Amino acid sequence: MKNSAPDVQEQLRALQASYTAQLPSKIEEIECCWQTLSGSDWDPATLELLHRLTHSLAGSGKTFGFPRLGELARSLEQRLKAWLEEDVSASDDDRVQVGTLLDEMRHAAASGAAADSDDRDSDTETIVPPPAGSSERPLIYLIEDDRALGDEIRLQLDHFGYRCQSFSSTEGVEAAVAARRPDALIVDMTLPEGAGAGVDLMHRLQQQNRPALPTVFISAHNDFQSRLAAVQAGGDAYFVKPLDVAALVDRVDQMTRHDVNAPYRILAVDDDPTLVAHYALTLGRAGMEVKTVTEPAGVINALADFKPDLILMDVYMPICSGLELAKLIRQQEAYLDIPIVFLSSETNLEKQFTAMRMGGDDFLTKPIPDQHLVSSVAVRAERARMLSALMVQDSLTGLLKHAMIKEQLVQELSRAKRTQSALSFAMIDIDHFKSVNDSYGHMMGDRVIKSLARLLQQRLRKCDKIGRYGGEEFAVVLPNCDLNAAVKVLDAIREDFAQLRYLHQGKEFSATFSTGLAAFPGHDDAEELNRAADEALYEAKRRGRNRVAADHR
Amino acid sequence: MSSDTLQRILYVEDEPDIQAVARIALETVGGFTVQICSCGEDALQAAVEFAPDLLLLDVMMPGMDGPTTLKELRNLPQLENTPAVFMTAKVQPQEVEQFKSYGALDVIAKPFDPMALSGQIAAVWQGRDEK
Repeated sequence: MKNSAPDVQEQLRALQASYTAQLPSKIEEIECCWQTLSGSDWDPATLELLHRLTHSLAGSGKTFGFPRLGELARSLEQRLKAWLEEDVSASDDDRVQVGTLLDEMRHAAASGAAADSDDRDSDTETIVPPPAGSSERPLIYLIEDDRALGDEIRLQLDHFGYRCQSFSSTEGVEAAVAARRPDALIVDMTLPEGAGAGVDLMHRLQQQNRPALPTVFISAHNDFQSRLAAVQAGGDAYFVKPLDVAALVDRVDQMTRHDVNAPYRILAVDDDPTLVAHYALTLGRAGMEVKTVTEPAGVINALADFKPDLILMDVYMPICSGLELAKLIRQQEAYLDIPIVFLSSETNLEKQFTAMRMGGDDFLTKPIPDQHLVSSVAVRAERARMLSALMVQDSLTGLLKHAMIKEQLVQELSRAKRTQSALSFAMIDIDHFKSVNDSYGHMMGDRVIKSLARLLQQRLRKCDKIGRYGGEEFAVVLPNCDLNAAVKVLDAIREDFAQLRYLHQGKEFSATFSTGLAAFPGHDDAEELNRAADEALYEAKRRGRNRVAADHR
Repeated sequence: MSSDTLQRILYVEDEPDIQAVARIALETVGGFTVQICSCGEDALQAAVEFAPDLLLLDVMMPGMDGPTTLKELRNLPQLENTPAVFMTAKVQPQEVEQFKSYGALDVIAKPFDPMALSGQIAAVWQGRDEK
């Protein structure tokens, strides 16, 4: 090894910085090229150029810390490639979808390398888990003339990783929305301009904005008329003063969470490119994300890369039949529960049953009406997603269940050993939780648990694994994060959690938590890590709670 | 095998940004002598003169892809036996076997870790005689 590591790290950082700086112009070039293409007579040379630009972005995004951008570019590249190969031009629907993809790409590029972290394998990227990156944080416009209340809401939103822009009247709100669409608005119905000023404002805004702007109304009145007025102005939620700010933030959080409603991901396998393109179009039109594969051998790769919710597969294909392919997929444990739906012109029931025995879940007969295909696939994808959520997620918090987080620790630990990277493990326990339950009731207890879960999700990286260990106890696996970095992150979260205010029968209270940390390579066994973190947690409790203790071995 | 120490690497990769990272990873970190070609055609032009100890090929490239490039390179007598390694995103065990059947020693996953790449390649090089 010739050069000292810091020098290399410096060079790599410089490369990453220059890549990041060039991204906007690269994406602009792609957009420009797309506009030329779709505005012209679908010039093949332009399509070729567009394909090359997109291919390049698809290949480099992940390396430079923009995995989401890389994925989006890859899916655009695949569409372009199909058009190139089949020598067809895009339909109107395709054009809309490409427009959406380009929007998402621009967003992914703007949201910065740090915030876009998922499953990073490379050392070029940040080791210290960043707080939610400033540009990635959801944006809330708060329109409230009561300064004290406004500050209170803003503070709580801030703790949960939202960016909040305040307005004390309707003035300037419309211009702000036009300039930058917020993720949600919180609007007081009564503003200095008059009793219904907030409602009138939203009427105007909702008319100009599609899709509708997620909106929460705050009101002093709890009567039917006021509530109806709020609904008619596009309100998604309605909160009456005195305000339960924690409940309000909870609602905003639900409204702005994107992953819950992410489109179904469908992998379509058929050796006939025209047919598979048709499925992609039909399902894509219904809002699903479709990846098409015409070579059976490409399925394995597509499974790992695309992570579909469901596989739609032709029975008769050259090289290997759909039945064999299904069996091959099922032989890998990770894909035991992925739904496989066969499509075939086969009407013989006996043969259909054979297909099921080979691992198929359902059999659709070709030709199939588009609407039938869409609903068959959507229903099964939805159920598969719900089942897998039920299996791994804690129902109250949506975090991983006890067994799952332990499994994640084992997996991440073996990966850390393999890649010789650090890993930290944290055990978190809410202090004096029993007295929260006793004094304020179980509902409030659950609220406290949920808010800690949400805070952890907001503040940790996507690649961190968060689980509810049981009761008021949580566990977090932080890959690529050494003990010192983990202490800093958890301590910052601890401070913010202590700032959160809960409202119970007009009285405010707050809660704290203690954390115990241990890390690999100090400990190199999952059970060991678990035990050491648990002991550190006990130490934190013993030293007076509301603190982070680490096992520095 | 032609030589015992690995010094000269011919790297074929179409993406300039990745080329830059790989250059640091192989030259600065690994201390290798590296020639980078942006496409299979360039590699065919440069290969004989550069006389690499090892070929490192990206799989997915526009025009001539990695496996095709390797096949063409193998037609040159000087490169008939030069060890080759493929680089590609998310590899499955079955595919590794497939790539090896094209005549590659091994497959390295992308995105690679710039600090570890040279080590990985050195390890493949070390292990080549045991195959």
